[in-house]
Amino acid sequence: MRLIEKFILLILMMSLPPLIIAGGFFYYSIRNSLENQTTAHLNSVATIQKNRIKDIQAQNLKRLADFTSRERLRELMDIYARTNDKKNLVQINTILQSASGISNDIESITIRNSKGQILVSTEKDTEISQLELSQGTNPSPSQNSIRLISQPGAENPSFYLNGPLMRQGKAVGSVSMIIKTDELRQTVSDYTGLGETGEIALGRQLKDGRVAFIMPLRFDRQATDKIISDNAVPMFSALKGEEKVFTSVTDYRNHDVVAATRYINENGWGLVAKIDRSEALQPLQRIRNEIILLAFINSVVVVFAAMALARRFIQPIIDIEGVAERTSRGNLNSRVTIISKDEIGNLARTFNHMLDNLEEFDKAKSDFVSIASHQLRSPLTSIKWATEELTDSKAALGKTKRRHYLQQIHASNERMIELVEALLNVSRIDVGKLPFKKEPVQLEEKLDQIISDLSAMSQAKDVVINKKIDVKLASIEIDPNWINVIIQNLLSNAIRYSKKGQSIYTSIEQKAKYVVIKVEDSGYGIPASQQANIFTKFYRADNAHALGSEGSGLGLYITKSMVERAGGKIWFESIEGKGTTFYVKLPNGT
Amino acid sequence: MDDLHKKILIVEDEEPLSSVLKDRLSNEGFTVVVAGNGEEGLDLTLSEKPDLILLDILLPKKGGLTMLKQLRARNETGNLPVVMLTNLSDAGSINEAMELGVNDFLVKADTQISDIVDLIRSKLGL
Repeated sequence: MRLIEKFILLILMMSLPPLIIAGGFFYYSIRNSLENQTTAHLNSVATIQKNRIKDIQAQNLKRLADFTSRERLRELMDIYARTNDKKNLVQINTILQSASGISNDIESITIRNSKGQILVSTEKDTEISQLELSQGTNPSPSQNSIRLISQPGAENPSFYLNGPLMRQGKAVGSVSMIIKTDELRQTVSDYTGLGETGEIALGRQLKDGRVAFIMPLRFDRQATDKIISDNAVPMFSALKGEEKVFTSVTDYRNHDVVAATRYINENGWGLVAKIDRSEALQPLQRIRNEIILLAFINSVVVVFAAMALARRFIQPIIDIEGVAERTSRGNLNSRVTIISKDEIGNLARTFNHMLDNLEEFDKAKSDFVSIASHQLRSPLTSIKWATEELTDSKAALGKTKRRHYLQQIHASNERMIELVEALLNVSRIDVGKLPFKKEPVQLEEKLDQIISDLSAMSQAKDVVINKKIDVKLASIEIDPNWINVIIQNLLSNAIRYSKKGQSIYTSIEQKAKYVVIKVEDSGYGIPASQQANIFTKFYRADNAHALGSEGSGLGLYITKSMVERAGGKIWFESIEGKGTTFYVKLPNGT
Repeated sequence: MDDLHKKILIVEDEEPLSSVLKDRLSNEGFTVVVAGNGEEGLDLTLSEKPDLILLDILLPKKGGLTMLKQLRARNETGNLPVVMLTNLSDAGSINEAMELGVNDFLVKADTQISDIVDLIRSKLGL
């Protein structure tokens, strides 16, 4: 996985969960409040409906009571029962006819005698008795009652009201009224405030224990008397007398609904006010979509922002990688161009610094190779040309010349050996692998031997070396080869840069913990402007170079490295034209 | 013995090299003058008026390339045949010498004395 992908994933992982959790909380709180709102609303609708239905029934019972309480009617019934006088019956019929004409709602009124026989009716006798027979009504009731009956072929049921006609404490007959349920139907068909899917369902328990609808339903106009299936949970709850709310329950259509139930105990009806949950929670749908859209937009924004941000962070790394790659292919000039002040900027700067060093090392290495090879070429050329002349018959060299050429070859060879030795030391110093084997060294002995080794050189320039040794001088612990190189380099430099016939003074002083070796000449000296460079590899002061090609420029570099690695210090004092004094301070031992 | 009339200036700080060259060129019949540094080389060019200069690059006091530049800047030495004879073989030195108008560039370690003699003869039309 690329870094940029990891970055985007990380930011997504950090930003999405809070959004989803907040969205979830928001969603569920909105759903809760929608459910509460809906159930409260359905509760109030159910209460209103219940009260209306109770009003309608009470009104109808009052009609019956108004009719049966007519004093004139009771009197006529009593007289007729006793006299059987048809005149009374005509008067009873007149009352009946006028009463039935009061309201359109009244379908029929039937008056019976105390034996239950029909005296007068707005219906034909047969129809009424058929109907009453089939519905199991009581033709001789002892009190007023109201119930529903279904008339064959009718769309809606009718109210069947039945009550006794009392005269002086005893029943003289009865009245039964059939009243239309139009008002009831209108009431339960009032879907105001119930949206597109809300409705009022009325149900009742039949004699056989099954449950049926009373009125047509919004989504089933033929629902009257239809048996209600078991999945209509709220209706069964209502019929058990429960008045409660359901936030999620199945209705007769198997729809998920929010419902409120009521029980009308006067006649044992169940009332359910309900609305499809999908409609009730309609706003939630929109909110859910908005949350999903928000999450999506968030993801897109996050991805883009993360990409932009990641690019800001990762591009410098890619840049650094590019530079590293170019460098590995050998291009040491390539640099990272990042100026940011953060950790990546620091990395870039460190990286560039490393490349600067690398380039410097590379240049130093190739400089070293080119200077070293150039220095080797001089003696090699000398040998090459001298041998060419010695072997070429045309050269016709005399005996003296031949001898001179052979000496020259020998000298060049010596110079090469020295040079190779010096180069080897430089290389060992550079990689830190200069062999060091400590042993006790008698410095005076060493000094004498070196002065003797250099006698040919000093005699050639007529230079005298004077030495002064501290009487307290003890042996020091150092690698004998190193001390050899150190003293020899200082003395040979002193001879080389002395003028003919001058003197050199060398001394060794014993201190408590160290010795100081001093080599003083009165020769050419080192120009002040170049004194800082003389310990640099291959560096030769201008006036030293002007004196000739002898000297590799490695001696002081090697000397200083050895002194310092042996735990000592080297320094000098020099005035151009007056001479130079070198000091080497070395510890006695470990 | 035409060669006797031809004068060669060797500008070389390595005495062992200049002495071998001087011996050989003298034997070949040339008049040879040796300078040990650039300053002396320029002085001898003006005073001795050599026909050809063998010029080293790394020299005390005045480098070979500086001396060459000064030679080319003067009317009397502007066209004087100069052969670089050095142990520097890096592209930078060669290019600089060529730009300054050197006639030939020889690397000492790769060159035999007889080659140098042949080259001098051909440069001088001998």
